[in-house]
Amino acid sequence: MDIKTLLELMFGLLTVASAIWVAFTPKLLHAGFSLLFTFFGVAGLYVMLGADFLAAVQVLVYIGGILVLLLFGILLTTAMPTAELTVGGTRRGQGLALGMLLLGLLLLAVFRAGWPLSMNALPETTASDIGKGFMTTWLLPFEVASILLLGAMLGALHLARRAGEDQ
Amino acid sequence: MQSMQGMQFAFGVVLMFMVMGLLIGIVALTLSSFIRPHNPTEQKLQIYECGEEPVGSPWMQFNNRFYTVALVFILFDVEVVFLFPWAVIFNDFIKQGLGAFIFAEMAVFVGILALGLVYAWAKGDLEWVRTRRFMKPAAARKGGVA
Repeated sequence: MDIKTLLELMFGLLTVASAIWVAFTPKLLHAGFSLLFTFFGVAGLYVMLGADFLAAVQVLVYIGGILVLLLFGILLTTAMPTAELTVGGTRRGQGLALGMLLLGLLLLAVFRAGWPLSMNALPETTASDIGKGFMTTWLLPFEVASILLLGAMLGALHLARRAGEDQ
Repeated sequence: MQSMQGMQFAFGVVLMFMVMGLLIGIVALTLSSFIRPHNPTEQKLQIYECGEEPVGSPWMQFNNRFYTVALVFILFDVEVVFLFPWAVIFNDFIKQGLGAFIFAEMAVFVGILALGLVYAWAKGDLEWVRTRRFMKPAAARKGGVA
């Protein structure tokens, strides 16, 4: 087994194991921190697949942003950090059914995708190609993305404001 | 597959730094556990907080403003993600004489997002302690806190 396969296995194992911990730990804060390792494992897998930009985005946005927001959400809520969640029990069947449905949908998507192979040589890094795409072919979607982000920010700030705090 | 080896090697260097950082911590603590005396007393096991005696639970509710700031942060985090590939190709475009063009493109992008920051600022979402200034100008001078 070469080092690449070994690393791929390690990142895959890290992702799956920490994801299982997220689902099964009764402590909400532990689940939040465990999610960090899931995101990190996925970033590692992206690197192994040659998607360097996606890996950087995964670390920057998911670990640096989403997870921090999630942990803030837990820590800022009274009594939430120490709250024990009920795992298993009555909801186990429903969760299993929903999980199976999602897995089925994913498998359907994987087998229907077709996976066309590009005849071009693989680029060393992907960031410059993405940048060229943003600035030329995909300029309008790029600028529209900023409006989408603006809308998301205004909406989130509005919701985060307590009722009556508005002017 | 040959072409992406260099990139993966660069990431491998980062991984090695992480592994080494982790190992140094583990090895240093394990080694010192062999030679240090083990004599815990009730006083020693107390939580040290600048000489103050800790009172109450450490799980207290933090200021909700942290959340708002984090929300604004994520948006600009995503903006940086868009800036990154742009910065990589900026020099290429300057060489082609298109520097002003792609600078303007990014200026529009950043400008639109800056509107969101202006909005948050004007609405008082960035104020640490919300005063009534943002509801009624007169009440703020009396020291009322929302």
